[in-house]
Amino acid sequence: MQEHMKDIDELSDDERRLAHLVRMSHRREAATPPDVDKAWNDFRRSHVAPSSPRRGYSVGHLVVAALAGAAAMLAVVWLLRPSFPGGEKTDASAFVALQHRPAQPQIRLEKDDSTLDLTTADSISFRAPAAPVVASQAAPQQPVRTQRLSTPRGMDFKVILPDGSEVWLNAESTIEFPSAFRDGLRQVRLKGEAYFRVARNEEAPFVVSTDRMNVRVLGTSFNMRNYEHEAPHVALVDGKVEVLSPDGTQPDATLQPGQEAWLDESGTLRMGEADTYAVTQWVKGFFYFHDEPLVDVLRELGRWYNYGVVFHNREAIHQHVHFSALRNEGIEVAVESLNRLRHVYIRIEGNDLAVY
Amino acid sequence: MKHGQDSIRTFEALFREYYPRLYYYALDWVEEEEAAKDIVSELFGDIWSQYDRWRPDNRRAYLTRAVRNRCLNYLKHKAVERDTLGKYLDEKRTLVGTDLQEQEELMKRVRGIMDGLPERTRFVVEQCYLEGRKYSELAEQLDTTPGMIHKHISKALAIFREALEVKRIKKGTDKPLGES
Repeated sequence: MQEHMKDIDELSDDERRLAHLVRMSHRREAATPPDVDKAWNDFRRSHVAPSSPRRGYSVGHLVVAALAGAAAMLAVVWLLRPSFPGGEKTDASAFVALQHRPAQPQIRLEKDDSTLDLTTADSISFRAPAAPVVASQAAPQQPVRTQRLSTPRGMDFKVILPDGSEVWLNAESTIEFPSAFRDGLRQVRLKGEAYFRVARNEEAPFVVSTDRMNVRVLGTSFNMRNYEHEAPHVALVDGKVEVLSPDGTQPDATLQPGQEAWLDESGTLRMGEADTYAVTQWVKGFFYFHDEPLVDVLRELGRWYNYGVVFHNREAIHQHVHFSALRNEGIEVAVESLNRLRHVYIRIEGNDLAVY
Repeated sequence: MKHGQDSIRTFEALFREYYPRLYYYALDWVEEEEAAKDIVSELFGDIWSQYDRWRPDNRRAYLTRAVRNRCLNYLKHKAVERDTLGKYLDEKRTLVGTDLQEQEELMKRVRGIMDGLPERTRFVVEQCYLEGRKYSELAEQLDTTPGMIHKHISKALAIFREALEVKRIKKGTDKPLGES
């Protein structure tokens, strides 16, 4: 401030006022936008309830994303307001948002004791050959087996379930489903992210369960996401879904098309308007983020290209950006376009994306 | 401090609505992000400590005034050694409005005017006022004369004066820019 004051004194009154205005306006634009979620959480911790964070599974109020400050526009990337993170802290200097995994890239189908490598395929169908979708009359001596399909980083895969429902499994995700659906229930388990197009069957609800959130549907399209260190999240494209807690039977919320629900870090279920375009772009082969924190964007890139993500510049973690790219292009293209923001500098260091 | 769930909820709504706006308003005053954040957080802390009795007629006006007072205090403490502090604060008083919304609108207008300046004029303004470059340096860089740089500045002043004056005259308050 001292420096600014000094040279401003040398100007005429008229010019000084102009300089003040220009600086004020520039400062608003250049300032790190306030992170109201973080500010509120800090405030709550220190003033409101120091030892007892809110718990529970009640339906929270709508959270409407408000864009604050003007955005510095660029071709496909621009900076927006920051929000709230989530992840692992290792030491005081760097924030590890995602770790590199040395695992070999393989799409695997596990059933019984066997494992099948499906890496060279791009989809598989388990659709029952006959009409009965819920096979209560299927050969009773055939035991129902659990099958598990997993994708590694960098690959997605489409699977058609025994009832004809289609599932696009995103990278680093696992879906478990029975060899046949019985007893009027279609239940699958999900880790990671998948887009579901569920075959309509009013008699047999389709349930996707995860460790933190379940959804129950009759016949709809929706995107569900439940990666480690991220809030579990469901966005409805069309139809109707009910959101339940993992042990619940009564819905905690019912989504209409275009709505989304997620669990915040205190375990409260929240609902809002979904950007269904954005959340389904991965199915079409794109990265697409609008007004999302850089940490989420880089986690997604890291998950796809198998890079760890390390923030040396912690200020950048919550910086909101707009970003889109083709998933079949190289990581360099994505990194370069993010670097064009000139707000952060991202460098590929060994197996990590390092943010400065 | 013990308050019911209802007051937590209304307070959270107040916080979420005003924290970002007051932060920018404080930033207009104190010109430092950390200080702006602290001032706004402290104000909310003080309000929360007596929230059961906090019933202002106009919440926005109360919050704006409180932030303004705290910012003025901060600046006085921060710059005691500065002999022109009084003048500096007077200037800030005339430039930073007392109404939150009007200030936000003014800042938006300034942004708009800047965006509308001819490219070279805008460059000169930014170099002079944001980077603190001297006319002579800038003239050399642009391969022109300090006189030409001054012309750009004068042009910018005229544009700003006109754009802001119209609004102020309509409101019938305060002097237009440059009429000091």
